Amino acid sequence: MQNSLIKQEKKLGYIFSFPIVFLVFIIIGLPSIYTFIISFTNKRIGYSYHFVGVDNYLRIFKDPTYWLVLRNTFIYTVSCIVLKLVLGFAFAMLLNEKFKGRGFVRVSMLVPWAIPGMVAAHTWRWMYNDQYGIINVILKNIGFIDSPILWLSDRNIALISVIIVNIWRGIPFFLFSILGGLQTIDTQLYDAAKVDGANVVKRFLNVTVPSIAPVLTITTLLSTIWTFNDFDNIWLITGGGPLNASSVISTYTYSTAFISNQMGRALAVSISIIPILVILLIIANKMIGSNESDR
Amino acid sequence: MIKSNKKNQNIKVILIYIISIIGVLWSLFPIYWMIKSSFTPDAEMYQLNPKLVPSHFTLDHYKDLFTETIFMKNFVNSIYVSVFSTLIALFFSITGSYAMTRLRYKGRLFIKNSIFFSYLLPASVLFIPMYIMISRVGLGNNKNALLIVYQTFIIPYCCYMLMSYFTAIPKAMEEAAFVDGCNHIQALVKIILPIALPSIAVVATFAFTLSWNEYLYALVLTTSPSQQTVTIGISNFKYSDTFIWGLIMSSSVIASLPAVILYMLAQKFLKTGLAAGSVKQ
Amino acid sequence: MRKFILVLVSLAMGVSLFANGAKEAESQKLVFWDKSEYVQAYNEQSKAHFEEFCEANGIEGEYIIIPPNDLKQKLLASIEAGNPPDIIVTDDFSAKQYAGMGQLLSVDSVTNAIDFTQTGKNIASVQNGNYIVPMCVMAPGFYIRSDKWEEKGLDLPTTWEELFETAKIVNDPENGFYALGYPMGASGGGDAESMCRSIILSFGGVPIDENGNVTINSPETLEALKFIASLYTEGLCPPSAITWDDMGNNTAYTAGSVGVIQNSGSVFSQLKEEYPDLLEKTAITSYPSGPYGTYIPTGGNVFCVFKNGSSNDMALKYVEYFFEKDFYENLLTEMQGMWQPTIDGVTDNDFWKDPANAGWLAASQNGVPNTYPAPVTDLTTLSFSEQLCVKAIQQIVLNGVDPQKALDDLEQSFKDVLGQ
Repeated sequence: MQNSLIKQEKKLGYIFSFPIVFLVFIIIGLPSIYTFIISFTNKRIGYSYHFVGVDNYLRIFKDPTYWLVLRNTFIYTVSCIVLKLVLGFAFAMLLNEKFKGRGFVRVSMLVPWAIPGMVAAHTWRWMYNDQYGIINVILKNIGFIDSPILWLSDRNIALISVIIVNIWRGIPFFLFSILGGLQTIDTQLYDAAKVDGANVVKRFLNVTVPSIAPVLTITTLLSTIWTFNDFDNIWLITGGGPLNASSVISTYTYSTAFISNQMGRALAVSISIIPILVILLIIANKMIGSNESDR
Repeated sequence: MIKSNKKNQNIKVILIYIISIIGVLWSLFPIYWMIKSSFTPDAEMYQLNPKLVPSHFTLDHYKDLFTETIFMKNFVNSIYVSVFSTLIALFFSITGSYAMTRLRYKGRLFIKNSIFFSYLLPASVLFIPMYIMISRVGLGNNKNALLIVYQTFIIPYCCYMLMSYFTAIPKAMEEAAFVDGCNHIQALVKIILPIALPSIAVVATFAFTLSWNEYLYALVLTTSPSQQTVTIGISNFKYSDTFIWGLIMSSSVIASLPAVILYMLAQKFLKTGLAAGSVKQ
Repeated sequence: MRKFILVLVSLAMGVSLFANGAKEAESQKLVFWDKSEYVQAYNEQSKAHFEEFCEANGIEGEYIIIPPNDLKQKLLASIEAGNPPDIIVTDDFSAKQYAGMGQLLSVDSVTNAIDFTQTGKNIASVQNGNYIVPMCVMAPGFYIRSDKWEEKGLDLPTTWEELFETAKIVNDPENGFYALGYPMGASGGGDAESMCRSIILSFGGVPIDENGNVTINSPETLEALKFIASLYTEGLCPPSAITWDDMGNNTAYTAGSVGVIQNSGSVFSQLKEEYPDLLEKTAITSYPSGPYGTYIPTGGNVFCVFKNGSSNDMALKYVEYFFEKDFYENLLTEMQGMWQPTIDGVTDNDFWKDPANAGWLAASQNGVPNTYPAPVTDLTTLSFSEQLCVKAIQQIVLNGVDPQKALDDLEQSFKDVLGQ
């Protein structure tokens, strides 16, 4: 009986993982291979093309715009993640307290996550409008500013504007992941720490953080990937402008491929950042792996 | 001593409420603005100093939306696509995650790690080859194509979540079942699924939102209005040099409803967290 | 092992999906991707006309409205997959690029059957063949709030210099009113680049000459760039105008927050329908002139028929059918003057006798192609749709780049696009 179970285990393992393999290696794999190959050609859609070796790569590495976009991508990803993490943590601690009206606050704070990203983008774009937008009017009325802030046209502000929207939409994901983690912490751990004379900060660092470390890791990992590849948000709000001031890799690739019709070069841009992603994923994988082995 | 404790307690309560109010305003203001704009007459839409409350209130945008556009058709399509892509994803992720966490076979680790690959290239790059592939299998301009393509981002997410959740379930429970003569499928259905149900509900809610919100693939892969989803329906209200803000905002409100309602219904489960699986049990 | 074989087999299946031979047999269906227009009557009538045609010819047809913002990526994807629509309606400058790709079917049969006006031919001609059918001309007009100028006792400006000087007087940013509303965003639309080019040409600059050489780097162009940039740096345009897309000026003008815009008749028909009071206060004239005259880059909507579409003959037949006199004449009337005809004999009615509408008709005959005076090819057109001049202005205004340096870079970008 043991033997037949083991045999069944193997068979079932292959049957069950086949769809996953098919998804990763065929449905995602084939287009990825296509992308990789085209990045070595001078392809422009509708024209014939040929291999040009690493020309595309040399060309983009020499282009200051590429480095600007790369820099923006990092600023965008890092600041979004850090702020979402910090604010999400803070609000999770808040909602972990018992108080009247907690249910309402909880539901309200979840809403930004539930609405479609493109809806959020349109709404914010509308609010950011320097002449008819509500944000400037409010800031003006409370005496915060004298002249309207050019949320979408100032090259120093455009990137901040899209970061704000990403944070607005992303906080709930952190909030609710962390809240879920906080609620599973055994209160006895806190009591024990109290007995040991640990103050609030120490209890936070020694009990709270380690207990929810696995949640933090996976939440941060998923959110980092989503933020890094975020497209709708930026494309629909600023289009990457002005002058690429708010362009990130995904929007830059898109506009190179479709506005300028430089497919080969665009795909080289997106292939060029894969090493960075791979390193990120390996680190994350290690972290998740070590968490799992704790169990 | 007691007095100062009470004072501290009061300060704490006040602080909690202040932060709560800030949090609620921050989260809901844009939603309010979207709803407000959807009831604002066109003439008032472009006002130099917009007011917080519209001085006139109109239902025209909704009337136009329901009677003159085919947005509701898009809405039905979105429900169809989101429900079925979620069901498909759940089925394959549950079986897949079970295999990758519970069954022993050669290559398991490799398969597990390969899921990471699916995150390397974003949709904004993959959609051209995806389009070619889809039209070659005869699914061009067909909403069913979305059921397949959406799996590229739903399944990896579901697998991450479910794998870590399954890992946390003690193996002893299954072993007891095996002794009673259960096979693996029975163990999955009778032991694992009931325990994992709350977290599967969370994952499902989230998978639904992912496909409900998707924009880029839907834009390229569907062309006829009869096949398009809400996100494309909204974007169809942007004409060459005019945005029909009234329609954009009213359709946005409608498009936001299902996911918001779903999240409210799933509140009970969400308390265990969006990343429930990775919580140490 | 078995799994490995399975993977290999499915991999092979997958690869064959990309192989070119495996084109699926599609049903013979005439697919028409039309442009979405602000004036709803257009899409309704165009659809009815198309369905009528399909029924008469006993074929199945599919009429789809595509927002112009989404057309390019959808079309490129379908070209790449080898299943483009049969017919599209698009801007002339996008169409000229598709013509250069060799994706379009020759439209000789249509142009032989229908006698297009010179204006029509202007927006449709490309150097490498006869691929584009002009559907309508969309002449831009110069909209000015005559009430604001009269208020200050000023005559309406007729030169760029006068415009600049009077704008300074009319400008009233304190109260949210800016004299000028020129969009300068690199968003893919045509308004901004067309405005830049009209000023460059009327200042004596020539972006690309008749022989296709880049001749933009001249003192005349430098003056023009400085002039355009000054409209922003002097605060005559709303500060965000530097990133407005083609929608920005329409909105600002109808909201009454700017005094001058250059736009096609779309604002005119919008004013007529929704803001008659504002129309009363608006004068619509020809563009101001510069030391070298007046140039009005003029485009329009055009038909293209794709080679790889499913029914080429029917597609060409439909395009010809579109110009049926009664339908076409009526359609132009419905468009309230924002579209001017590309064929003769459809303006002999009350609508076009109205002086306001007649003005648009006259304007449509004075235009030059967007890429004037360059030969019309896919690449010279690409230099237009890439909005190179717009980006140069943005560099000067936003990044404070020295105009001569911006011009040098601009010259280089032109050469890059043209492959020189």
